[in-house]
Amino acid sequence: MTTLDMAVASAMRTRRDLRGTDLTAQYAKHPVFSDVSIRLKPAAIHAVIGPNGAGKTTLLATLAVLHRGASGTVMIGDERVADSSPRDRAHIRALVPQDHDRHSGFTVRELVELGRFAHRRPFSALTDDDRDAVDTALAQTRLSPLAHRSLDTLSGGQRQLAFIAKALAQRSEYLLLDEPLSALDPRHQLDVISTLQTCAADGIGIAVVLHDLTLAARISDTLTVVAGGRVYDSGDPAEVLTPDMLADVYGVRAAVHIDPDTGTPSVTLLGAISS
Amino acid sequence: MLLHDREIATAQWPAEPPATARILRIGSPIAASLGLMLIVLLAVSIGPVSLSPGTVLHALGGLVVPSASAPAASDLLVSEVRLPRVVLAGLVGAGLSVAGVVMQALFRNPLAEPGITGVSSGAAAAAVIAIVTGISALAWWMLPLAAFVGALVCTAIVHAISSVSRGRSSTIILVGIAANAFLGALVSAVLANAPDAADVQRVTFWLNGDLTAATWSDVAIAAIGIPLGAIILLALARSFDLMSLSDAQAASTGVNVGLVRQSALALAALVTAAAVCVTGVISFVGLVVPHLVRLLVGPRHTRLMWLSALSGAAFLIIADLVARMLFTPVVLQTGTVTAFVGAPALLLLVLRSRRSLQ
Repeated sequence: MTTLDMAVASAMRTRRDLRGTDLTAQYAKHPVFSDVSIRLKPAAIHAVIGPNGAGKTTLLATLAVLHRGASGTVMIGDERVADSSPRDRAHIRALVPQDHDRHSGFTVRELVELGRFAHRRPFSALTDDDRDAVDTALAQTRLSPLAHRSLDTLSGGQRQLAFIAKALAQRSEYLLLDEPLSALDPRHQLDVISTLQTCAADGIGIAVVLHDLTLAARISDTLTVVAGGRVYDSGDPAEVLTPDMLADVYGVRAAVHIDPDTGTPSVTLLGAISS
Repeated sequence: MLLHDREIATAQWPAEPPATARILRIGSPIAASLGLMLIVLLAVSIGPVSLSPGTVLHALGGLVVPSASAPAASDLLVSEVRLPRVVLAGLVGAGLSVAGVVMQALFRNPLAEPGITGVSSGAAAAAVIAIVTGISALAWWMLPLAAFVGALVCTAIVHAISSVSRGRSSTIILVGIAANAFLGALVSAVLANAPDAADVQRVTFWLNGDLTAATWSDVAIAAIGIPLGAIILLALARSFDLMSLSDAQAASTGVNVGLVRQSALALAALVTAAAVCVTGVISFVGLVVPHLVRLLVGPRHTRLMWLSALSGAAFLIIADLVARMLFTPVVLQTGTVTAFVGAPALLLLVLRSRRSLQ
């Protein structure tokens, strides 16, 4: 394939929806959710919220076609993702899972270079494209100064950023992140959020599982609530994030008002609803 | 006032990798290659009859460019006795080290290694059964094939049990202990009841590897299986990098995790079997060597596997040299020497990694 072909192909590849239809998943023979449908759009941030154990992590893995006990179809444009090779799937989506605590001994840069796996052949050296993708991912996550530090010596938040950088270096159409802010202090949270917003502006579609409801509503174009083994609601954050939903899904009494600083809904928890 | 941690980090860690790390990374392959060559020369020179380096080089030259005159006794000593033994030690050391690296990555366990997991014992037990039943006499490749099948079966069992007990990496060691005990008993029982008394004398050979009386035909078997397996495994090095993180990380980055794991374990079994069927079970090489190399050059598998192969070759050549020379006239087996070095190393590693083994 010539460079021009590849440029055309990548231009055609962008702007495709990633759709999961009738997704049903089991975990160790227990049903997690059934007949869930979700549609991710390029150049947009899609936040997924829901109570603990609702299957948000499994939903991301199912969308990434990585969960074995799942049925249903995941389509990218008009292709079934399951029909493509593992290597091609890496061009479609990257996943940032939660398990970051291995004592692997890699440096930050080595880890981010691993994100280029699907772009490389065995025994080949890094190309200029590879180096560019790695440098860009390090700069976007502001990890460039730490590039040669061992992961083992970083804080939990920095390590999380390094795994996000690895996923960015993959240069996939979609980026799926499982609670990427969980270990981060406010400053690092903002770094990650602005990184995600930059990626979305570049045309990458993003699905992100979040626990912070106010933050989820603030940064997302679409908000999906997963609860009770199904999609409870999905749509514009201002319409989805309501006191009724919070009572139904989380069992909490809460007030939702529009934050004057951000213009997005903000949740104030008032108390638990005794069942 | 506290600085932001990133500013501290910037001050301490420049964008370039530390000079020592760079020197190690560039220098270690060169040092390992030169070191290996020197060790080969040394190992060929030293023996009950010491040869000068000049004599050895002359004999080695004679192998490459055959001279018209009849070979001297020293030439024959080098070409027929010393060199096959040293080359075999090198091949086996390299193969066992590479197999160790691969098992450590795939089982995500720092203690996995062909000897400890019982894969070597599986190869040995199958080889012994092939000899006693006479199958190995049918064709030259029957013995290696039997060893490969034995190693494969043992690998499959270890893999199955370790994936059932996910997360508990100490399981693999317990499985290995059970496998080694069972297969060791099997080898002893089969050989004790062997119809041919000559078989019985070789029981120690199979349970505790030895390079005595290595011939060029032994070298040929090792030289087919070990480089073949090792080169394909090297092509999978980046998959191992990702799989050493987690299966989810590897799969989401484009690795066909199931295929890579199965084919790599089969190739590690092939390499192990090629080593075991010519030297018997030599444990701990695949444990000690990769750990030392990892300390020097880090966890990336391309570099780790290359350097482990070179260092593993050097390690086993030295171990064999020690086995035949250290306590003359007391004879040690090569496997005994590696166990003397490896067992304490295993203990140290268990103590160091006890947190991750829980």
